[in-house]
Amino acid sequence: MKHWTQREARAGVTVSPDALNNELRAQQSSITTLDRTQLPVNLVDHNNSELNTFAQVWQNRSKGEQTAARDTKTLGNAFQCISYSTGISGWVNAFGFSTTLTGFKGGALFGEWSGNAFVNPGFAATLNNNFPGSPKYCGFRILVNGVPLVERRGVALHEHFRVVGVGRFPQGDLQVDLQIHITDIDTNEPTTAVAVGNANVPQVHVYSNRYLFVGRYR
Amino acid sequence: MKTDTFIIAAAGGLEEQLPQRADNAERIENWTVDRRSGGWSTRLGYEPYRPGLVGDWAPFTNDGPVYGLHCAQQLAGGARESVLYCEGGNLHLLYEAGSTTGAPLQITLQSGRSIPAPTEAGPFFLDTPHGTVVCNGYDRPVLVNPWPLGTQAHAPSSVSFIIRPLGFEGNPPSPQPRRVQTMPDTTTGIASSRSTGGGAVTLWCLADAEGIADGGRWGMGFENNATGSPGKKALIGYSISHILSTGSEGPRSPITSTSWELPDDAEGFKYAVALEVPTGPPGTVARKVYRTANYSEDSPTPDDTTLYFVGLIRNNTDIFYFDPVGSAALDEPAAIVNPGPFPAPRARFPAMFRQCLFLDGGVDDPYTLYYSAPSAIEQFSSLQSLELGSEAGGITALYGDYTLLVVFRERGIDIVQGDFVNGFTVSSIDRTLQMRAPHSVQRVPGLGLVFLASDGVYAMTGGLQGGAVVDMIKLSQGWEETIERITPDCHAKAVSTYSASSREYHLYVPVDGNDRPNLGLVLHIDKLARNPDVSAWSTRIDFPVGCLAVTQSGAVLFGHNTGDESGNATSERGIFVISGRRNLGGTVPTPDTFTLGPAPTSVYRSAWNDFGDPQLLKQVQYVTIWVMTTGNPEVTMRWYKDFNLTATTERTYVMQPPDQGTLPVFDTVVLDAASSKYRNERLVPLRYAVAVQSCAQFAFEIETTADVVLVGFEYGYSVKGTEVARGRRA
Repeated sequence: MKHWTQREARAGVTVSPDALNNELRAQQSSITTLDRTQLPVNLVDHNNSELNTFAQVWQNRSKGEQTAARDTKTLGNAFQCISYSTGISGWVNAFGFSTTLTGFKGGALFGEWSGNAFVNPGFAATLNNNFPGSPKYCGFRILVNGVPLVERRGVALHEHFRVVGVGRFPQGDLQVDLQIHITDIDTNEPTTAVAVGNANVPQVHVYSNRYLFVGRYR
Repeated sequence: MKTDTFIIAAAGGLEEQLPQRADNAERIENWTVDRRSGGWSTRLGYEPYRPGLVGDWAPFTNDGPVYGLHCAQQLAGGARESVLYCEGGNLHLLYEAGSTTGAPLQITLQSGRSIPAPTEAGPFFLDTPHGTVVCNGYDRPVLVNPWPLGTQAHAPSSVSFIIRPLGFEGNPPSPQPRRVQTMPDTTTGIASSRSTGGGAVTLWCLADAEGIADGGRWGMGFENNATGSPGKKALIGYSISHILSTGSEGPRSPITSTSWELPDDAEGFKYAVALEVPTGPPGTVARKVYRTANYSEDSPTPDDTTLYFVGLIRNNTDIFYFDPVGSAALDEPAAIVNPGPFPAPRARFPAMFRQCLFLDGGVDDPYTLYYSAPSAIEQFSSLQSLELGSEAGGITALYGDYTLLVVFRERGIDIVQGDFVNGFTVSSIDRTLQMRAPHSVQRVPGLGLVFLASDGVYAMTGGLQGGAVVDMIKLSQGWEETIERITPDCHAKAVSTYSASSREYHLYVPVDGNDRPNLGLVLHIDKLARNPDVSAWSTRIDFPVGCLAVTQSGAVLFGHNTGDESGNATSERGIFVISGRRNLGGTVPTPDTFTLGPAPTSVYRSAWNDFGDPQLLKQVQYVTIWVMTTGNPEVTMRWYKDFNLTATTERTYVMQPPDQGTLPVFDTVVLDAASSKYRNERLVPLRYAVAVQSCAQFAFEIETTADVVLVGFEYGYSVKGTEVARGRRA
């Protein structure tokens, strides 16, 4: 909840404790209220499922590798994927096209996105890094009509990932975007491999993607 | 010289009538109540809604005068608080969660809406469990449910999910039953030629328990045609209605029928019907399917088109419904009175009372009140309306309050009592007050329903149950001159709100011929509680209020009454907050620069004091004002005598204790453990010597832009017994 100026401490005005306390109290009260209805806890357990719940499923087991944010100037034997040379940061779509969940009837939506992710550095520290490096992460997010269904820090190195979320959505076709987020560049980061024709170093690649969405109506 | 003292312990508020109570003030501009002392404080101003020194007016850059503002509360505790506002014919949502640039997003929910004329009130907002109803008297009311939305990129495309017209446009289109093609007849082995093609379907149901254990339960029509040609006919009619997200059921569609005949000697099968069901308008969450029994001449119920509920489609997506229910299983007849389409498409005033949504008929239909079914705010039947007598004029506001729905009218006040089940009744409680300022109505603790009538501000107190009596109390007694200043035809432009955090009723009105509010009248409840006999009103000058709203935390928001009508890009626009920031807004002279506005000028001029007997001449020697020690702000006193408004200026004092060491102030001391410490403000007298000589009436005035808290005052004076001269001879 936002709070605006309660009492302004101006030059020439008494150094009164109230002048600070009123303002501090207001600002410390500016807590964004957590909305517990947004939490997915227990939405899919047996108590909340009814026997006659009607379900609808959308799935794709062969979504393949990422189709968006692909740098073609990577090494010849490497993934065409996100590299720092393409200047990517923040959340980006992993695929060139959104997925549409046609005919969603309104109710709970369960979403799952899994696959494999390669995240550089795979098995080596970066240049000039004298300490054990912190792994970089590839974050994952599922957006449904622009609203995050689930958002996770994701995996590091070269791992399998699976993110799962549940939310409630109005009826109508839902637009789903699968997004990834890479750790920002380090100052000592090698971005190009000089020895092999200045090819760009691959950073994040997701492949063997698959998704499953289950609409549940009752 | 020994003097008498005349003490006013608590300085009062506005009073204009003569003679005046000595406690009150003839002029009191830009003061609020200091919680610690109960005195008048100058700690007020307004600042942009976006906190901090903003470098542009985004997202309000192109906004004109804001004439409608509302903070919609969707969850307890302020979660999902959404700011809705209207300017330039647009209904905007201020969306703060999805921004990636820092400035909140302005999402236009609807354009091309009617802009109120100078004599018309801005739109009305009513929070319901299903969203916020927005009415303006011209456009179809809409229901806004401003959650969920996505990020900056996604939010505009999600708008269609969060706003929709309120109520049902009309009858839904009829469902289209597919033709039923019966099983091939036993002699020819082919289907009936009349039934083939055109999407005909054959959905057979075994009619005999010998065929299947549950046989005979499902299917319509006859199970055999042993008598041969002509075949036994089944004639079934269908109708649907829509259910909106508020749980309201709409009117039923006209009936469309399908029929089939059994071929010669057919036996053993009944049939189900495939129904093509059109989807409903936005907001539809379910569709109810109604059906007749077999009403063919061959049936036991010929020509009986009574509709029965047969099934519920719990979505607005499916376009097929299969109906296998036998006529014997139809048991719930449809309601006799079909819910009608939305009866008030130009409603102005929404109000909730006894779980029903009340609406007036709008500008064209100002004498009718429509009400919904309980807990189904979009479900209206043709029987659910109240006709008001026309002698009191059109409806000017609605307010659901305690056990009454208060219906303000142009020349009186009506009340609605009762409930939906036993019936609502309307009766008149007043035919004298003219309330034409619909946005002035607020519930104020301790007073009841406060509103601006044409002749003053009133409070409607009490009730009509348990022996209580409704009473009208005039709150503006003593300052009718300001009421007279209100632009008569622009009463509708008055706006108000009540803030529970500052405990103030804010009323902003257009005065002196203005077409938008330019004078604020503030009722300070804390003052009223402390001393009910003195005035608790003050005025606000230089607050460009176009409309008002209050947040969940009690902060008073206002929409700027000029916006880009100023003709330049630097002036204020958008939404502002009345706060403790001692500036009047600001400007953006160049991009990324914010220049704070000046501090508000606060003026307190005491009442004309005759010290008990105006015909005795007084020698006022001292005026002592009781103030809180706010530090080094300077206050110069002026005084007047005998209604002569040529002021005499006295000395200037700082707000420090007169007889003790000065208190440390910001920017001049370094706080340390030894001497300079935080100090609570103290209540001290500042004694001004005035040289009035003799006067019958006396008043003093202080005017400041600094941080001052005025608690009370007292006069030191003497009376020698000299009387005023006799009257001037004609």
